[in-house]
This record gives sequence, structure tokens and C-alpha cells, in this order.
Amino acid sequence: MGIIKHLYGFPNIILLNVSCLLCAIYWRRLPTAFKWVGVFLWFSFFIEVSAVISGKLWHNNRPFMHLLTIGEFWIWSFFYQQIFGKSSFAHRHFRWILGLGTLVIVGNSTLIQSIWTSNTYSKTCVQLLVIWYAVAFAFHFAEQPPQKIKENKLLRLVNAAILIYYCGSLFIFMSGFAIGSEIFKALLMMNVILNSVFQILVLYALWTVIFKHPNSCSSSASPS
Amino acid sequence: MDSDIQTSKLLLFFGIAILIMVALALIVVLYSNHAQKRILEQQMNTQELQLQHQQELLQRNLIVQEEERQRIAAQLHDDIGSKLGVLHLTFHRLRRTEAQNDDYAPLCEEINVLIANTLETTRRISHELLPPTLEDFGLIEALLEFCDGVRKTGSVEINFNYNIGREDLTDSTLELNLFRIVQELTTNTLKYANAKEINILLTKEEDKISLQYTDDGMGFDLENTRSKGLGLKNIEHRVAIIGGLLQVNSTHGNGFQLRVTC
Repeated sequence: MGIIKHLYGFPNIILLNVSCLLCAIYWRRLPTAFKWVGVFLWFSFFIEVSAVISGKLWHNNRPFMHLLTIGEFWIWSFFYQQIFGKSSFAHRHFRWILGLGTLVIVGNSTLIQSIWTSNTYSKTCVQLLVIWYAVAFAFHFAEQPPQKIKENKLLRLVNAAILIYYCGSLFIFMSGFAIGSEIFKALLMMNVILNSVFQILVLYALWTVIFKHPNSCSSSASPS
Repeated sequence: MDSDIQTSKLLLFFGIAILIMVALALIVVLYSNHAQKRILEQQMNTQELQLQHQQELLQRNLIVQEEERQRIAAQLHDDIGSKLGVLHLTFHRLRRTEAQNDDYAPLCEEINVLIANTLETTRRISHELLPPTLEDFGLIEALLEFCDGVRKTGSVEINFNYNIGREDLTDSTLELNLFRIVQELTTNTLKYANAKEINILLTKEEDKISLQYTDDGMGFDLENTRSKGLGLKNIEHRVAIIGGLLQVNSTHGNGFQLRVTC
């Protein structure tokens, strides 16, 4: 118990590797918002590899779930702050959201659910936040004039991938590991399918932005 | 056994929950796409209507301009021109009665020249506004006369060829607009193209009248000029008025080619 073997699944690891490789080779060609997607992919890859290694060495890789939670919270917050308009709520209160979210995740890991157990509460909160970001962006996008829509067509695709994956996997991680391992394994298989959809859409968006429409997405800040 | 049923129920519950969430996500994505398409369509419709309205205004403007030209030309010719003619004749009668008086001779000559010049200027302006040849003899004669006028300036070699007769040109609006197009193009060639030769070809192909205009001038970048040049815009609108098809071709160093088919 305690080893997460199939958070992503083997086929998805290959897709993830290809995406990471593309991001690394063509980093300079990526628009700023897509650089955050690249950061997320690299971070996911790091977590997956670390989880597998630590699972084999110490038979518990749950701390990486905690790390993944705070990582995805930060990266997606920066990603959406990048693509939301300056007048949006998420942009105006970005520091508050980031600070409060970090406090909740760290507080949960230190006070409520220790790093050796599943962080279902904070994971659920982060997933709900990401879903809120994605839904807000989808509606925000629907009101944009055509020029902007054309410019950010690929961001819409990434947003759809995020929305589908996080909505689908919400109950999987919410249930956490409280339910029986048999059920959890089955649910993780669903997570693998959802992750495949996510990886394929993101890879397609990256491929298109790198090879077909360089400089097609506009953004203002840059990660690190 | 109970445990298996429990597991199955839980799995079913989570499976349905996940499917509902994915379905909701898809609904949001599809709604977003649909809303954008709708906005895009609305904007395109608005732009199309604006463009159509703008074109109608410009075409109307050209028609009004032509009507005004005709009115001024008629006033000049029929009113001022005829009155000047009467004045000239009256003056000649006066001159004959005072022919013996040498004191008035230089003054009379001066007045005579002044009246003659004014008559000529009035006639010229009236002809420029609406060539009487076009009205009386049709497009072919008007173009022949126009080409003669250009040739006399000596700045360019101009050739006009045709294979149609007056019976093929029955619409006066068509004739007037084709004539104005040639005028506009020739003015542009003389002003900007530094051309040595202009060729105008008026033909009838099947049921369609075709006007081709070419010069061997320096040419221009069509894309950049289209947005700026009022001349080409006017030509486009004139072609639209006569319901024709316009083809323009020009690049730097390769002259200018235009074809109107209507």
C-alpha cells in the first residue's frame, strides 16, 4: 500500500516524454503561455519518475502527491494569470489566490493529512480551483472578439484538455485512497484514459504552435 | 459476496460521477466554441453589411457626380455658351457700325479676342465634363477623340483597337463608365507610370464587352496601392455600377494590365 504505480500510465508517459522533448528543443519558439504548459509537463515528468523510483526504494511515494498538488496549483495559477485579461478577478487577486492556496495546501500537509498519507482535501481544492480557472476562461473566451479568438485558438484547446481532465479526475482523487484498493485501481485506470486525452490534446497544441503557427498566441509575462 | 456487490455499486457510482463531470466539461467546451462561432458570424455579418453600405454610398456618389457633371455641362453649353455666342455676334454688329472709327479699333479687337477666348474656355470645360462626342456618337468615337487628344500632348504613344460597332454598345451608362475608366487610367499612367506606350482594346467576346488597358510603365505593388489609391477604388465602383468583372495585374517593373468584362 502507498505506492502510486499508474498515475499516468505507460502510453501517457511516452506522450509526456514527446511533449517534454518538444518543449525542451523548441522552448524559444513557444509563446509565454505555452511555456507554462511546458513547465507543467516537465514537472509532471519529474513527479512520475520520482514517484516510481521512491516507490521502489521506500515503498511510499505519497509525498510526491503533495508535491504534485502544490506544483500544479502554482503552475496552472501562473498559466491562467498569463492568459486572463488584466481586469479579471483571477488576475487582480492573483497574489491572494496564490498565497491562500499555498497556505491551504501546506497547512493540510502539515496539520491535517501528513505527507505520508493522501492529501485528498488539498488535491480536491486545487482541482476545483483549476476547474474554476478553466470554466472562467472558456466563458471569458466566448465573449472575445474574433481577432483574439483566432490568436488564442490553441490556448482554447489546452484549456479544453485541462477542463476535461480535471473534471473527470475530480472524484478519483476526491475519493482518494479511502475506498478499497480494488476500486481505486479501477478508478486510476479511468484517470489514465482521461490523462491520455489530456496528453494528446496538449501534444497536438504544442505541435501546432511549434511547427504550424509559430507566434500565434499572445502573452505578456514569462516563467522564470 | 456482499463485498463484491458493494464494490460494484461504488464503481458504478464513481463511474457515473466521472462521466457526468466529463459530460459537463464537454458541454462547457462546446458552449464556448458555439458562442464564439456565433459572435464571429455576427461580426462578419455586420462587417459585410457595413461594406455593402459603404459600396452603395460610393456608387451613389459616383452616379450623383456624373449627374452633376451633366447638369453643369448643359448649363455651360446651353446657357452661358449661347449667351456668350449672342454677345459675340452683337459685338460684331457693333464693330461693323463703328468700323470707320480708328480710336475704337484696338479696344474692339481686345474685346473680340476676350469673348472668343471665353467661348472657347466654356466649350472646353463643358466638353471635359461631358464629351459631346460620347453622347452624340458613342464610346468608340469618344475614345478615338480622347486618344487623339492624348497623342497630341506627345508624352506617350497611345493605341486604341476595337472590333465592335456602335450597335453593340446600347447602354449609355456602360459607355460613360467605360470612358471614365479609360480617362482615369490614362491620367494615372501619365502621372505616375512613366510609360512609353498605352494600349486600349475594346472587344466583344460572345455576349460580353471587354475593355483591356495596358501600359509599359514602372508598375506598382498592387496590394499596397489598393488600400490607398482612390483611382482604383473609383474604377472598382464604376465596374460595380455596370455589373462587370474587374481583373487588375501589376508588379514593379512590369507595367499595368486591367481588364473589365461586362
